[in-house]
Amino acid sequence: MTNIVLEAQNLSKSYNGLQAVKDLSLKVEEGEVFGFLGPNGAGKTTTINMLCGLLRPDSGLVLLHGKAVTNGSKETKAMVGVCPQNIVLWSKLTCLEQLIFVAQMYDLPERKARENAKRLLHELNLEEKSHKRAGTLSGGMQRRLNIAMALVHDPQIIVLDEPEAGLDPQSRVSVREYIQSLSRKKTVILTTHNMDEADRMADRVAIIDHGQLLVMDTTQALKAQTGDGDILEISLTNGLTDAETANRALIGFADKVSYEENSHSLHIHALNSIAHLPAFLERLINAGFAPGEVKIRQTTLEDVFIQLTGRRLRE
Amino acid sequence: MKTLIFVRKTLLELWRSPQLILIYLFFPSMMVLMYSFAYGQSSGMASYLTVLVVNQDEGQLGAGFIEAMRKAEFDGKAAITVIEDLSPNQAEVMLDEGKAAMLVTLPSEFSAAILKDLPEPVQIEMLGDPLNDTYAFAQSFLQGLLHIYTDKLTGWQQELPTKIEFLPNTGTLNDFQVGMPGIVIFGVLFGVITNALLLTRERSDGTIKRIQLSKARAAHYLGGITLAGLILSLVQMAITFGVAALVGFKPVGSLPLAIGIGVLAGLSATGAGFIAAAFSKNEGEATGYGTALMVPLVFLSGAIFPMPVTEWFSIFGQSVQPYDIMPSTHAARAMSKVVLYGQGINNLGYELILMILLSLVIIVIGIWLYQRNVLSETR
Repeated sequence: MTNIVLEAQNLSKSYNGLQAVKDLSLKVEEGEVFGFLGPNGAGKTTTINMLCGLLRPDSGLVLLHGKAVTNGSKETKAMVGVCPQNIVLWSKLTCLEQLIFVAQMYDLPERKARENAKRLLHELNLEEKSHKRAGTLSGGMQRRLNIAMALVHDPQIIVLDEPEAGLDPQSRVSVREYIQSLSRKKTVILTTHNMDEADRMADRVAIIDHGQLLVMDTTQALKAQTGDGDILEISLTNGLTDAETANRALIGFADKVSYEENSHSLHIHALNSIAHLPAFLERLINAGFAPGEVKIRQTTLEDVFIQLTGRRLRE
Repeated sequence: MKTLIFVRKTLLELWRSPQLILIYLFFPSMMVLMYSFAYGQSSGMASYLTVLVVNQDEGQLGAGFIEAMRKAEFDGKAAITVIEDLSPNQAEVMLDEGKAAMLVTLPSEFSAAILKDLPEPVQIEMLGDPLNDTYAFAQSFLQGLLHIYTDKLTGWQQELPTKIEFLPNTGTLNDFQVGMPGIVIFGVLFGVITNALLLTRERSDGTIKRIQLSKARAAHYLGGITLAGLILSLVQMAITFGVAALVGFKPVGSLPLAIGIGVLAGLSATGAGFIAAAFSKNEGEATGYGTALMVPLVFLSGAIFPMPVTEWFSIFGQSVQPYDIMPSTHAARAMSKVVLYGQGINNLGYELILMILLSLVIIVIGIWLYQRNVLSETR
């Protein structure tokens, strides 16, 4: 039986008449990596801020272990560690100094604070930089220190807002591995607009757009909703873009056909798509389409998003 | 204790910000040096009494009076420098440039008027700039001198109704020395801008979010900054009075008491800094709002120049003026009392109590505003 550590019930928030989050409800289970996926401006950070107590919702409740918490309560603060999207460090303090300082702000005694700080610096490969001022670190190191600041007080729930943003590929891998190691001991809530990041790291994903929760499930279940098999992307070179016509043309061969506006391409979900490719092309040409470039790939969360919204995650 | 971790952090960050810490610690000393250079060369009020004389007297008494002026003493030193034989143009230029206190013209009937007691009084012209404080002093001094001179000649025995005296050691104070208490308070109050910048940097860098997310409260954070400010004020005061001693200034009263007053005056600078930071989103705004608060605290307190006496009401015999709502007014008064008049803590009760109370009021307002505008979770 899963243990729900964090629950949002009907959260809503507006800014100057603009609805940032609308009637959002979700549950986060203990020990999972929960992903928030959505384009920029979808309401991810606003939701996270409400869950962490940085922002008071216009309506709705946040429950921590089943107990309603008032925003900014000490309970919430002690149990949640937040790594913001922007790098937020005291540039004049060394890595060790600021980790100890943050830990002490959460009432950890100095000895324990120092212990945690040194352990985290070691785990995040920053041990050599312990006595260097944060302002002198590279971007990747600063981002790792940013993550360490969220963990130093040993919270049960860790919120990571776009943790891989601005990292080089090597650093991304090490951060990803570190987050996955955390999930065995902590509950991790991850926000991202990077579908690969969500796909690789999250156990369950909630897709959010325009402040509303569109869908929430495991990544496999979400991808399965879009259809079986692989996806063929066929770009179209003439004006005919009607997905209905394409569906009729490919009936019996393809599971689902959709049109993606930005790339002017048809996305065809089908089993054995390589084998059926000549037949697909012939039928599409007969139906009046002018196929161009052909790509084949596996279903991604972006396909889920496109199916739900008709747009890509990256506009 | 959470407040102490903020003290440590603030001091560390300031120590590692050379520009900010140097300005904070050395700004009052720079003011002392500049003031000393500009005003510290003369030896007191009396040395400014350069008097130009045009002697039109047909008798001998005019020359006698001029001689009496040359011999007149104040506080054991020659009081007046007399310059004769100037053309009207030269005299006017000297008066305009402030190089002389006044132009005295002794009329042709000067001797006759003293000896023969003429039916019409004789007018002795004393021309000068009434805005120039040396003119007022010279006028008063010369009138007294003239009475003494004429009474001696006429055998008139009378006690002079007034005698001009200054408080000990003050008559020979030059403008730098007189201005020293105000300079110190001005320097302390510059801390308004420094504190505003420190707090606003936290906001513009985003690190305020870390504090909001933690269990620390506004009182811990701002209390830590206040304590750090007191420590730095102590160092600042020690440096300021040290530099003042190097240019020849020593407080008449207790130096530790003077330093203590300066440190406590720093409390109001801290509180005003909180208020400025509550409305500032970036360092430019912090400087602007900080200056807007600092200027009235300095200039309306009487620290730099005396404010006209305007009594609102009196309480237990103590006159209360509009400027008394500012802690800097009492800080400036207390500092003057100690540094210029040598008074002790027993004579400073009113000033110290009001300075501390009003500073605490400003700090509480600053904390409330900062909590509401910056640290509050309601957005």
